[in-house]
Amino acid sequence: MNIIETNLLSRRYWRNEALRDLTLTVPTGSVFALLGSNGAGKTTAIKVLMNLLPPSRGSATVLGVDSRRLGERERAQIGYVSENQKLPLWMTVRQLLDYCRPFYPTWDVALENKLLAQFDLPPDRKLKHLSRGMLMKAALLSTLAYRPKLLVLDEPFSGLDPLARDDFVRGILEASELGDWTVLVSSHDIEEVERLADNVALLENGRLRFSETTESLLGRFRRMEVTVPGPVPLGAPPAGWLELEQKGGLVKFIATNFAAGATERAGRDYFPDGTVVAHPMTLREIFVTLAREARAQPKGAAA
Amino acid sequence: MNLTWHIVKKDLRALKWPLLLWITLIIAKLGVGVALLNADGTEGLEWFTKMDALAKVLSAFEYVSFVLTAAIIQQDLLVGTTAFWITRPISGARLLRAKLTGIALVFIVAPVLVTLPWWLGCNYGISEIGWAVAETVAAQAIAVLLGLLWSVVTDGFARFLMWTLVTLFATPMLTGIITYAFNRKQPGAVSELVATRFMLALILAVAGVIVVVVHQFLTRHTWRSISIIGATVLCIVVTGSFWPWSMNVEGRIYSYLLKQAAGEWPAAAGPAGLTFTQISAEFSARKDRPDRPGTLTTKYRVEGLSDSQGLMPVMSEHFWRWPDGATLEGRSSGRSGLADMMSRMALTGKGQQASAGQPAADTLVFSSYLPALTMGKVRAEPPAYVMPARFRLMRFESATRMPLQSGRWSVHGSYGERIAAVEKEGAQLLVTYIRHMPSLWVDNAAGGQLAASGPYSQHYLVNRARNCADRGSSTDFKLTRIGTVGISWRMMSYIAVPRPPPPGGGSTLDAINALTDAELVKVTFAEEARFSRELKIEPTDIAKANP
Repeated sequence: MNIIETNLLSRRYWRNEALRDLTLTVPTGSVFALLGSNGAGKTTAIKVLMNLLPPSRGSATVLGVDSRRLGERERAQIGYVSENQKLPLWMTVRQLLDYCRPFYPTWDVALENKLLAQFDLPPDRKLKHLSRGMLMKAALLSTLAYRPKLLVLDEPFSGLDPLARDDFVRGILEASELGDWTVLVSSHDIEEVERLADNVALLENGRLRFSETTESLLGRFRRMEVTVPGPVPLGAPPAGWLELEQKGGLVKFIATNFAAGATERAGRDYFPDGTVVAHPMTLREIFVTLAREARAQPKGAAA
Repeated sequence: MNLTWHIVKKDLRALKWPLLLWITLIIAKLGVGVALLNADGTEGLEWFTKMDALAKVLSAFEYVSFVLTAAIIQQDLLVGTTAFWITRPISGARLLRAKLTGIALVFIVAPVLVTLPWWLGCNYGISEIGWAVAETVAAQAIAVLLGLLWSVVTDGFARFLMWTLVTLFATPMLTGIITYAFNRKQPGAVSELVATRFMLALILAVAGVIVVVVHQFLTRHTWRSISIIGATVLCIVVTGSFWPWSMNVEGRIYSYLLKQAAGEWPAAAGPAGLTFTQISAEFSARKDRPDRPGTLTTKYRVEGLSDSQGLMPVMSEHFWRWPDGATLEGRSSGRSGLADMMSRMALTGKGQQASAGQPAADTLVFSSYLPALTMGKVRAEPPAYVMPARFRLMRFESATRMPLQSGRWSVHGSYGERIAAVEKEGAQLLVTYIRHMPSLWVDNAAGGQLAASGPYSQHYLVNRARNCADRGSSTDFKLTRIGTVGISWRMMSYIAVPRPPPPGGGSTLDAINALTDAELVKVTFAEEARFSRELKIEPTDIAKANP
């Protein structure tokens, strides 16, 4: 069962197509990370899904409902936190919670109090007097307290200092243990996402590069190191090898479809006298590799 | 509804200080009114003028409500993708309901509730309060509509203010350009056509704002809303420039207002034995400008009144009826010789005129305004003129000697008067009166006499020894309008010798001494009956009078 499904979803701003033919599924119960560099189309995708923007083409369903028809009932089951959202800053934390509470039949006061204590938020302080990290936590609290089926976090870590970022991620992780919700998070802060996400999708120039589980993604990328006796001529690398480079007796490349044994065998075939070692990569390293590759390709070739 | 109220309460809480300040300004304005009514007369006209200016400034601040309207709307922005409410379970329809409820509470209910004690204090009746509420609502509605227009399609207060100022400057400019083009093309254009175009433009503007607001709340398609604004402006320009048919808007409005008043007027022929004889009927209109409006002045001699009775004509409708059944309507005002009669009664001190014993007669003069369209039709083919004239039959009630000092309020209905100060200056007696009366748009538009009721009084300085009753002349006058109540400050100068002095009569010293013999007398006539009498002029007589 998928909580979000999109079909060839596109959004155009005048001549600029910010999102192109996005076809994506977000499984229910997953923590789904939408990755991409600035301007990749992550926020546009989320805004279209949340019906904050109408799609130029294509369609999407959220909670089984056409995204353009999301009504009060569906919104009561969706939590949305965004760096860009304008909160009513004149309110105190308590007033914000008091204001939000009546709109949600599923609002859990016990959970609200628990999260309030857990997030260490001062209830009587005005939002405008909170730090950015605290403000994001207050926004998160006001969305978690009604146990939404779908929690959408759009660039939640932007502008947060490392401590606040860590605090915020820990807050999400702790909160995720308290409910059974699906999380869709968009970010370019890969380290934070890596701690959270079990599914990852990468957007580049408005197009979907891939969408798979984090486990599978981390499993298929490896930084390969081949020790060779001396300089060897490097021909065209086999498919799935990126950033092939040589420094003295060390050849490095990144395998994008790593399979234990098979990739090492292929390495030995390419460098018959070499010793092949595979190193696991972090999500950040994978992201940087793919971003570099996308930049190196001629425009429009990413697809 | 609970969630709607919840949003309303949030908005009111967010804007509590500006809203409280706004309400305080209204209260302050009413406070100026209370101060004016309680003036002891020694403050002088300058003080009254300052207070009037203060009231006007405070009144102007009431229209800051267009900014507050925008503030209420933009608590939850309708433009952009960053507003808090759009990701919460709040539909556009619910938000619209909440905003309209909030606006109604703040800009309609609150001012009415705050002003209600003022109206009650000025003795407003139910009907007057009804009209005053309607007027307050209408005045605020204009400001609110202006605030609504740009606040729903802008993404912040700065842009709202900029576009509102652009609108406020552009509207008169656009009107000026249309008027200029219109006058060049059709010099001396018919005023009714202008009134019709203005009315249609107003209707289009109001409808356009309503459509934009509802559309924006329900769809948040800002560019489409802005397109609707553009289309509305275009429609207004086209209508204002090219609409060809007159709808006699002015006439219809006056007719409506008069019909509202006619409910209180019995359709009776009046006291038996009262006869009306037409003396004359004259048009005043420019022969060389058939496209200009005109006036029909008719004179009647009234006989059959007792010597303590007088007639007060009240604003009435009149009809022009052509043989083919076509009818146009308008309004007429009239005057009688009641004031002269009162002057004579002030002198006698009783309900009889100086010429007691003879049957009293009075002369009535009516003026009927003919808009250019009506004037043109009357010139082309003389119709019959019919006026169901309305009258108050007044009877002498009292001639009371007033103490020459400031006094208490004499109140009848919503009309009140008191002597605030009395001073003697040479041969003059200076009396300052403070009055309050309803000053409603509807009543002013309908001639200011629709709500006329109760007794009619005049003050005279009477010097019986010299056979002189002076009605006085106004030396200082200032009228201010506070919360639909008109408050006037009038200093009357009376002299106790005949004006002008009799030939060869009296020295200055003599005139000063005359003041010691004189007394201030208030002559009051009470309403005895109300009736209407149909006065007709045949087409042949209209043809004779036709310019």
